[in-house]
Amino acid sequence: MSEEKLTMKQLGALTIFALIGDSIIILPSSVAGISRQDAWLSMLLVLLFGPAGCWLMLRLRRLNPSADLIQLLRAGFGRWAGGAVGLAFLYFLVLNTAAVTRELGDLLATQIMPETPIRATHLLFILVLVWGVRCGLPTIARAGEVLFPWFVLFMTALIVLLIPRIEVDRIRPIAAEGFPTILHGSIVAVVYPFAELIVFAMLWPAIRPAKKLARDFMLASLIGGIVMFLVVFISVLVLGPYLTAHQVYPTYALAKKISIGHFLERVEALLAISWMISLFFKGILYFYASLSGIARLFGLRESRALATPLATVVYGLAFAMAPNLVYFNDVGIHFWPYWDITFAYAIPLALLAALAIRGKKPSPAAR
Amino acid sequence: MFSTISVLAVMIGIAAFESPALWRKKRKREIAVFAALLFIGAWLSVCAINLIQLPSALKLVEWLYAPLDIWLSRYVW
Repeated sequence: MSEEKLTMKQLGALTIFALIGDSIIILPSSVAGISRQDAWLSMLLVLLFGPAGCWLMLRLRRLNPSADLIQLLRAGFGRWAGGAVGLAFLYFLVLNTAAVTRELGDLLATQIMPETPIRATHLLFILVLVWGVRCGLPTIARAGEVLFPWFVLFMTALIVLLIPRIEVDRIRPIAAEGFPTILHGSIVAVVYPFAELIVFAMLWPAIRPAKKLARDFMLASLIGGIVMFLVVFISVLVLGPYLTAHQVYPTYALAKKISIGHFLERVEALLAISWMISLFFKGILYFYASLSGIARLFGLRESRALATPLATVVYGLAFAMAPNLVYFNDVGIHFWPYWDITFAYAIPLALLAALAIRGKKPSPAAR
Repeated sequence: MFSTISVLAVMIGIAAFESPALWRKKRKREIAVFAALLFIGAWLSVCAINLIQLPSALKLVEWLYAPLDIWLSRYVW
């Protein structure tokens, strides 16, 4: 859309936003639901798996820095098969945009503004998405740069202010249920933060090539992973595994626990605003990626005008996605991780294999 | 009824606001994709605004991965 390319600093901020994105509100309960008091061990494993997945995304970029994933798929699988996989990938991107919208809507509808219809929240969120995407990716990235320090401040506040309420007994017994349970927890935990970074495979052409890009991307994803580890760790330490697993939004319950000398209280709404910022950036990256993916797949020269029609699709889908929060979260824990792994790891690996077998480099002109 | 009409009015508004530029440049592909997205969006949004519950889009995800989930939970963890 625009010729201006993103700098490393902006890429770092966007990576951390996309990584923390929606995982901050749903990850603790899904991980603790599986590996109980060992959720933090699962998160430690994720710090090993996650960056390995990011390496895969960087490997895709190394193939051709000026091609996005749709082009690479067409180069690897051929025009029609690649197009079909690309279409499935577009469905993944649009569905993810709708899922982020739905998560924000559910958070507001169940915790903060119960009397506002969820569709009103969706509408406001999607209006901002359209506005942002029409301004272009550089504007989004600059907004990320501006809001990032605030986000850091709020996240630090969440963790530091909860230190007085830690009870170490809550994580005992350690590793009582054995390694497979911890591994199962970590598979769920790797998906929401790390696998969904696959959106950057659609954004690589818009990022200024730099020598240290790979290092910075890995570093940003590692920082985000450590933040997620701390959030899960502290929610198990403060709420205990049972409450963490059974709260719909454990981080929100966690923020309610902040109480410093009966003076600093009820800061959860402020913290929820900072999560809305990260949800917004995750949503807008996915929305932008779906839009540029549509333009690429159908060979369009212009995608700005498509932002509003796509927004109506996302608006409808966010509502039609799930009849209620319970079904949404159930799918989110049981089936969504495999869906994410398919698109973020299995398809890129198959693509790399196909390109290696055919032994050719994808050209930037290939549509 | 009022809500359906207002959604359709918004859709017509979007088409009137966004598509003339595409018509002028005679971008046929863009117009086709624009129309397709707008029709899907109109259908979904009318259902959303009238609280009609369509089959969930997540049913596909559930159908695809339920066997894997059952197998893994039986034999692996």
